[in-house]
Amino acid sequence: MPERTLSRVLYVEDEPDIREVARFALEYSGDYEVKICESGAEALSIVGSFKPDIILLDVMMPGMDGLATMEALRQLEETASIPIVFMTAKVQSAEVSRYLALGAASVIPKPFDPRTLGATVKEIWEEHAG
Amino acid sequence: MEQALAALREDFAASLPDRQTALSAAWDALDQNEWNPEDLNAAYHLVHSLAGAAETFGFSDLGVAARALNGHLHGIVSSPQQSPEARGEAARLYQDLATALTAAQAGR
Repeated sequence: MPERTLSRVLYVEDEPDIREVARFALEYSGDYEVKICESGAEALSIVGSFKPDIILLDVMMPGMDGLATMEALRQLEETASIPIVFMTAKVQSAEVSRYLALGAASVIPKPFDPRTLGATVKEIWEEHAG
Repeated sequence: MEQALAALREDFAASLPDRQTALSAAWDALDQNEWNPEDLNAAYHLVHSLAGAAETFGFSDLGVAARALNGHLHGIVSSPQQSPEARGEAARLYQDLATALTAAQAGR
């Protein structure tokens, strides 16, 4: 169990409906601050000031997709070691293995359960936070 | 929490007629313009959006139909060539989705 506590969650998702549910679910279930971005580019522009403890990334987004966003985040010193979780409906074992091999901390299948999303994120963070 | 989730679900359900209209218009444009990339992308993003949201809000049949067309269109979008068979399959999956959309609205 890490000494720090999970206090800031960044979720990058292009779908407005899913953003709404995720924001509600995360804010409702935890004591952490939640920031939602519509795109990978927006996420890259705010990570320096928001300083998330964990980043949740939709995989299929127009423009910069989740994989490209993770790659860009890994290039930044301030986000290089932050646990990144992919949120995706594509959860065949080969794809999950690929995401993990590329450096994702975990994969949360979509559709996610809003009732358990916050607890799931916290578990993943506790497992991966240094 | 359940109340808030129910309200979000109801908002999504209320958006279905507009989504169906937009998807129908996008599909017409696709047919009329020989599946040009711009129209294809527009249709794909509407379907992609519907697939993710429907499943999240518990519209299972709608989600399955949207996900099937979404996956098929994703393959077409990624491919430089579109075979008549691929377009035919897309048309069939679109009809399934249109039916599921109508049923979802009737079942509200």
